[in-house]
Amino acid sequence: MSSSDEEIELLADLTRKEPSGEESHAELRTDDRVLARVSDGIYRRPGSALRELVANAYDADAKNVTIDMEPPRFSRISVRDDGSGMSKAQLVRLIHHIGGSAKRTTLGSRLHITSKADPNLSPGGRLLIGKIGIGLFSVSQLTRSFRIMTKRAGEQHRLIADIKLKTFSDSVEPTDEGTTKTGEVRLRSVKAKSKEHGTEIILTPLQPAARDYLRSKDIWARVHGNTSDSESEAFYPPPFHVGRLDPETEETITNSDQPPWDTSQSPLERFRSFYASVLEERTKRNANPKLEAALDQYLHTLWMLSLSVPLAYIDDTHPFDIPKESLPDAYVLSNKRNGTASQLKLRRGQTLRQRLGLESSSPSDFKVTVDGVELRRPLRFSKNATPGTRNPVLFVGKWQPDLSSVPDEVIGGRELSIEGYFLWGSKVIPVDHNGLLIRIADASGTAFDPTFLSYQVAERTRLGQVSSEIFAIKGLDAALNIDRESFNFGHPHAKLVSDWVHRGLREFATAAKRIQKTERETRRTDERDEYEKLIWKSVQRHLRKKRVSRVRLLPADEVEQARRVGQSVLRYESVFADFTPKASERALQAQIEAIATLLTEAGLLDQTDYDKQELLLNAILEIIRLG
Amino acid sequence: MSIEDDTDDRSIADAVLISPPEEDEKAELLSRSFQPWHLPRKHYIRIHQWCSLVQKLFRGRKDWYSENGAAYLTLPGDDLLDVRALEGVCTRAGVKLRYLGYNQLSPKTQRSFASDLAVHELQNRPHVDADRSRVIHERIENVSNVESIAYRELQRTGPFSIINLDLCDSLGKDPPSSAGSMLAAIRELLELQSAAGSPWLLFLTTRSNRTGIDSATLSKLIEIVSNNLKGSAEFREKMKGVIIDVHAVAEGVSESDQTSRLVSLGVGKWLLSMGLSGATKWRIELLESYWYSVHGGQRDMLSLAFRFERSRTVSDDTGLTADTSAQSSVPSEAEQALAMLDGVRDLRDPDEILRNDKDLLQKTVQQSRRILEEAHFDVDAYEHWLATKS
Repeated sequence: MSSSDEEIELLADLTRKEPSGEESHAELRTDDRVLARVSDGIYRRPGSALRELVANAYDADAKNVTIDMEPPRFSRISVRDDGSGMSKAQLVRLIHHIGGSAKRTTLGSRLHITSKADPNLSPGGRLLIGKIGIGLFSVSQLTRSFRIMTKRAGEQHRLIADIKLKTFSDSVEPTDEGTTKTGEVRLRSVKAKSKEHGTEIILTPLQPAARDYLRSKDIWARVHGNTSDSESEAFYPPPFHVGRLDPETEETITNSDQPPWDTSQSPLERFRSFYASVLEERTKRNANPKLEAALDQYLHTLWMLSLSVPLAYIDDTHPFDIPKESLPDAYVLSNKRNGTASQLKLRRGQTLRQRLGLESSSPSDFKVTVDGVELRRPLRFSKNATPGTRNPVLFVGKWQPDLSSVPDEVIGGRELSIEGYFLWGSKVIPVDHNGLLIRIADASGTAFDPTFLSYQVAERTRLGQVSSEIFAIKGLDAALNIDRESFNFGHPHAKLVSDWVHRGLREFATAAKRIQKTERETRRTDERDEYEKLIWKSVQRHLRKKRVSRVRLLPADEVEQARRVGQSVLRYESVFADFTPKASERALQAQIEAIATLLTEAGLLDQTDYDKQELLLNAILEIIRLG
Repeated sequence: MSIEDDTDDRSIADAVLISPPEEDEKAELLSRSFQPWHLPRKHYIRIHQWCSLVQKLFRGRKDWYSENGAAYLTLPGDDLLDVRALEGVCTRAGVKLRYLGYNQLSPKTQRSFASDLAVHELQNRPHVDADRSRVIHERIENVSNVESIAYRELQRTGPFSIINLDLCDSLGKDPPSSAGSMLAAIRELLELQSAAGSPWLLFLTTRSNRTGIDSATLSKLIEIVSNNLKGSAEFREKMKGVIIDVHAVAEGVSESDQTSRLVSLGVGKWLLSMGLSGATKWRIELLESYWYSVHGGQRDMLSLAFRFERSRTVSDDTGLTADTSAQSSVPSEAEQALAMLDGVRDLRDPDEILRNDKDLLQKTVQQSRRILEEAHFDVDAYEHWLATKS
């Protein structure tokens, strides 16, 4: 794709006017009218556009992204990064292809947006998120006008641009070249210090819908719309919120904020406090905290953003890097058609990454701070469950199928490599984390999918206890839809991944059943042991002796031996004649033994021979059982 | 109360739909015309009053400022020239600057790019604390309303080492006891500053022409001054060399110079009365201050600088500890007011200073040019504009 005449002209104009700071004017164009129509207003939520802007910063090798939304006013949003910034040529290109991305082509490399060696990587070596994308259209739901200030290191000038997007109208006709006008831009250069670099985008004014969403207008309208009618339900504000702007004055705050953090805390502490607060909502209000119930729309947006962009995990460590000692019990998936998950034995200090050769990772050098809060991935992998619940179990998988023999027209890209985990606990907290989240280049536009890509087996209870991430190392990106928030399940990669997930879930279900059974038995054994202890303590108390010679019930063939060495034993089969205690009656044996011991100690069985003792105890057993 | 009570379709549509931005085809991205505060005399004040005093402030507690940085409250306008100038001082002193600027955007300047660019550029400076510095689009007058966003921002960032209220009009333009007046805002600021480190600086730039001040407010200022006149012969004596006839000012028949002096003194004494009203007592000095003429003629613009120093608050009458209260208490109202008279008498006119020193004028013009160039003004146009002004 060569540069059009317009681009060349604009670039020349910008270059010529660089020393004087005179302005250049241009029209925004998109090649693809359909794309423009489809992407105009494609995102419903502000979080989607923020995610795309953060992704751009990531692709530009930024180390820090700072977002300012000015809560609770939300009339402008600024996104600032210290990435590589754009050159004149890149900015001109962006303007002329506002609906598409130059990143993953050789053209991208020429503009230095990608690494020279590999068009899938940034110059800094990051796997690019934005291969396809609707580019700057992503902000159109947030605003129709925004400003860009950008600078590359080594250049003497900073570029500033003011962009106005046109509301898409069917009546706008494409030009002769087949491009459609989608807005206007004014640009100029300003002098700047050579070594500075980075980009800032300021969106203002925000579209009313986006602004009102961030202001949680609907929530507050419900809260303040409480009538004196005693029949209507009283609505309370969510437990955590950033306050409510007075809709009349727009200058004062009518509801003082209740953020899930303290302003004295550092940005990272605030996020950790945020996470802890949401988890704690469980004990205060209801069994299963849900983000929507605990947070206002702004905080909800922050949480979802922290799940979507490449970030370090909240406890600093990627699940694949947690050492054995802190890891839940782990199983590895077999990848076979009807396979079994096998338990993993890790050496001391060993991680899943080391054990299984896993590749996916999260960046340690990418920080996103929003209004003073440093975002992290809000996912934790503790080996300890909350008291009274089952310990979590981790199922891990890695699949790189050999697709070399699959016909070209079927496969849609030969390279597919995925890794993932299914974390099975007794509850998923918050509920919104139940399901499957797919990451490509460590970023995700989907929320957790609780259907696990439409897994058709009815195991709702067990599936409701699972939280899962899939990391696409290679491939799958071609199956993403244009909005990057959903997959095209007609694409071969999506089908393959879906099948792998379902295979994995079957193995998980089998293993889970087995684990639960073992646990039940262990629990019963534990319970029985507990009960037995109580019984013998009671016996000791009544006999006022610390050491008691217990009467035991043993299988008949062991009885002779035991009596020879002086133990008091009776035949189990005779006492329990033809009767097998149920699982819940395991303590019966201990009870009978205790009774026998008491009778013996009281001297009541001295004159009775063993057969009669056994008969007596059998009778007692029956009476207890009937009771 | 519900704004959705109005079921008019048009108002519903307005609330929901996009309102197209004002199409101002002529306006340039950084379109700004030269204003009076771009004159060399203003830059002279920036350097020789603001920067100079801040430099002294830093030197007085070198280690503390190096470690903690300096918090600065300002009304930076669209160009943040004062912040740019102070950033230079901070760089030389090795002090990290965190600023909070109040710059309400009028509907017309709703899309002021200049301010955004200035903030963006300053974020990159090593001695600007980027994470804790910001310009908010609120009115500073709103800080007297504790439920306002303006107040909340103040609370979160303050207290401050330097407060710079560079007003275009008069701080006394509203009647006494008006809600949301600048005077009420200043009072709220003082309240917040009780927790400030000591000393701290207040710069106040205000119009002082008779017509710009509310009559009742001016009467109050005169009343405040008159109290000292009544109470102290020394004050009366000293006053003669400063303001000849207070009542002439009251009646509006004196020269503007006199009004300006009276406003300076009145404001100083007003600050003093508040500063001595609480448990924490402040010593307030009127430092080297300036005045000049906005439209030619009488001097009707003041650029005042105050230094606040705190007294000790805890005293011990029991005798268990040595009594140091005498050393640390602040001078009485009468003594401080008397001292302020010196400052009022010694107001200097930067226009006059520059007129009488060609070298200094040239140097100041160069410095002014440089800072405006930094703010991306067309400096050739600046030279032309200056030529029309002389």
